[in-house]
Amino acid sequence: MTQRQNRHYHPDLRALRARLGALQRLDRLPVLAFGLDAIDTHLPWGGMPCGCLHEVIDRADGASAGFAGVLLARFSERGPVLWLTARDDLYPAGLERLGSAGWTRRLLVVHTRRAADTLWAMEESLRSPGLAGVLAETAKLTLSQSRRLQLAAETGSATGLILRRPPPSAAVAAKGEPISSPLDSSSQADALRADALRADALRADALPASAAVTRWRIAALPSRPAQSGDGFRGDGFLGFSRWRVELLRCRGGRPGHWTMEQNDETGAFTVVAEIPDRPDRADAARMAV
Amino acid sequence: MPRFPTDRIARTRPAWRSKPFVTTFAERGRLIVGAANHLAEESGIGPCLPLADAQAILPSLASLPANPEADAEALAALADWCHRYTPWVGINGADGLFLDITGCAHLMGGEDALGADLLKRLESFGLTARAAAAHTPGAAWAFARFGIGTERFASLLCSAQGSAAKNPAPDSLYAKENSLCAARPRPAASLFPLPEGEDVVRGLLAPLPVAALRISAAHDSELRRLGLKRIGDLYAIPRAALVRRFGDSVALRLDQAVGHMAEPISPRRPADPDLVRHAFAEPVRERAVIGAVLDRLLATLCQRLERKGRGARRLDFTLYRTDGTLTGAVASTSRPALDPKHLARLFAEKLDRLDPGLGVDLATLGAPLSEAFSLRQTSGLAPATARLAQGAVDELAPLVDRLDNRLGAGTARRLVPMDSHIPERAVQRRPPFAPISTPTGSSARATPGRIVALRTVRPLRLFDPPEPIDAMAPVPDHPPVLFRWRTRLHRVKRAEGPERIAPEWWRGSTPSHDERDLAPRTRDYYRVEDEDGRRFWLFRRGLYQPGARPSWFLHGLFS
Repeated sequence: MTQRQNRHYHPDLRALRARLGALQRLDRLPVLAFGLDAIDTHLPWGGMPCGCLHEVIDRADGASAGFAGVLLARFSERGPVLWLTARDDLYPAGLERLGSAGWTRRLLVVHTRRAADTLWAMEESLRSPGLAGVLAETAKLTLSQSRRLQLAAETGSATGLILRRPPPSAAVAAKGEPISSPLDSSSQADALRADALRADALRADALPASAAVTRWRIAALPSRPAQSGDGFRGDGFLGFSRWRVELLRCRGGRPGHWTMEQNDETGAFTVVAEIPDRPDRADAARMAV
Repeated sequence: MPRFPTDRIARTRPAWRSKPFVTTFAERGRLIVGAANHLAEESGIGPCLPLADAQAILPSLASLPANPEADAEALAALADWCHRYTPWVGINGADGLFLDITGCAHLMGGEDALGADLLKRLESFGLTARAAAAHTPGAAWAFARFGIGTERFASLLCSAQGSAAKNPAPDSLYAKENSLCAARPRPAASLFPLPEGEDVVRGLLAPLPVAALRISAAHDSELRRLGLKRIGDLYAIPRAALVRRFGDSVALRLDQAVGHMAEPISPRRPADPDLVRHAFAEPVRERAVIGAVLDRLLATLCQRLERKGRGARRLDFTLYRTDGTLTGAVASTSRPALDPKHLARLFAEKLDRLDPGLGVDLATLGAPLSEAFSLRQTSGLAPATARLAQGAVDELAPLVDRLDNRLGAGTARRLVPMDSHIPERAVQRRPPFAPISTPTGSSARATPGRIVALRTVRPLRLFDPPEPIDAMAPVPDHPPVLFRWRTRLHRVKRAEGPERIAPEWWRGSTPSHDERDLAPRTRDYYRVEDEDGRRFWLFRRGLYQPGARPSWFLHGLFS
């Protein structure tokens, strides 16, 4: 669909985009296919461009880290990659499932405690030769900081990935309702409200501009109950994990959104058609016990 | 240094310099003088005198409680400072230092000049010091504490030197030591002619009291009771009789003093074989000058290491401030490095943080840790990552070094999966370029490089330790329907499990009664999904027991 739209652009517009792309040097960057046709054809480069900065925004911690990890695993095919983590809790057996077998062997993990160190380390790693990708987890990133990182990515060989995580307390507060129990002191409720506000600040409309080439937002989606034909999985059991993948910004391209699903058995990712989920009454009744 | 504790106090508090004071310690309910400054000593107050008696002698006497820890710390700092003379410095007791100046003295213009320089600098720090040089630590100790300061000794030394045969010295030593005499140090120049030859040393030691042999107080008093007051008196006694009467110690100390028995000095810091130094003509404070000197030292050191076929793993840059304190920076590398430019970058930020104080008059650069350097490194990422070119490792090493030096050693690591059922044991963090070896033999040890099974789904993030949660779960074996994690309530929509993981029984022993709560227990793991689709890894610790409240933990987050 997207390709057809691209073809129907006015010729002048297409020429203009080509010139802009040349100015931004984006057309000369090597491109790494995402591996999912629906997303690759939507991106103007036919995949993720290397040697620039991409941004992944957190709506649910596991899911966004997983998506960023998938991108990093793709870049790891070009060389060693680096993950700058704010909390030292990455688990290789889980990471391994995000990419091709053995990709975590090309992964270096650096634990940075302060945000300033994270950005410094990211810039150093982007500028240094020999790396194919650098992923940094950070809560804040101003426009000038992102410009700096984008310039660093252009000079070096590595592709930068920014994983915007809300501060730890807000990571969980972003979703789920506060507990309305009389035991909760008012100060605690205030703290929760503050957390929620902080998390809201990370919503797309409140996000500051950044120099990143693409900006993604990832959220977890409830899994679809397994088909009745499946012998092992049934009602109330976990289906395959699903993410809602939103492309919020894309330089020279159009926003889009997809539903991605990972097959728990094979680890393969697919883009599934977006069908509105009907409430699962039987499930809800069982869980309300 | 007889008055080290009081000198130390007077150094930081100028007001105390001009009045008599002592440090005191409590013994059997009395306050006893530990050390007295020179004003107090002039009035005849010395160590071991009760404070009450001392104040009777000198009513204006002030006192401070002794602080042996601070004294020891200051002595250690002074020992570090003495590394400007020799790499081999040992601490002796509470107030003395041994410097092994074998092969170092000529760098300072001979033993005389070295000793004079040392005493001059110590005096400028406000420290009263006695120093003596000898071929053995024992003799140096004896001369410093008992010999020097008396005219008789000096003349004896000169005459003995005159008559001595010039024997080659096996090792030369001098010790800077506490002396019990209260007089100010004599001009240093006359103190340092090195007595040579065993006969000379014996002759010099003979008139000293037996206490100069570093023997215990009990032995000292017993020897004196027997009329053996001088070391010379012991020469005539058969060794067997000495050993029979006093055990090994007296004979051993005598042998050590005259050089029959070698006595190693245990250095405070391991001697650094690769050390380069730069002495400034006058104290400098400028960052640029220090940086330029560092560059030059790095170039020299790298050349020297290159000739040996080694590369630096750790570098120690030390600045000697004029006030006798040290400052410095350490940089380490993940692989042996020989590129001065790269090493200079590791120091760049640290230099900004160095405080030169009133000025720096000496800079040294050492490589306490170096490794064989080959231009083609064979170990590294290569064994585990067949696809990674060797060139990539070479390109990565400088980056890893910079990260490690700013963020702390061992920051950059690789996650290595281990063969273990216990989730937190199934990962190890390893240095990025360490070769990953597969342990052979014992099967109980986890073997790296293999993931147990891809089909057992494991979380992306694993909390270690697991975070306790409040959970509501139907008994006996159901996953929670509700749980609270970090103050938030999550409703479980779907769940899968349990996956039962038992502790590794072959590891560890039966827990004692106290640690039974912490002992590993069987865990039942559940993968659960809340209403937003977020997935968690929960477990119940221990098997279900009727009546007992089960404890639940959140161990990880799924992608």
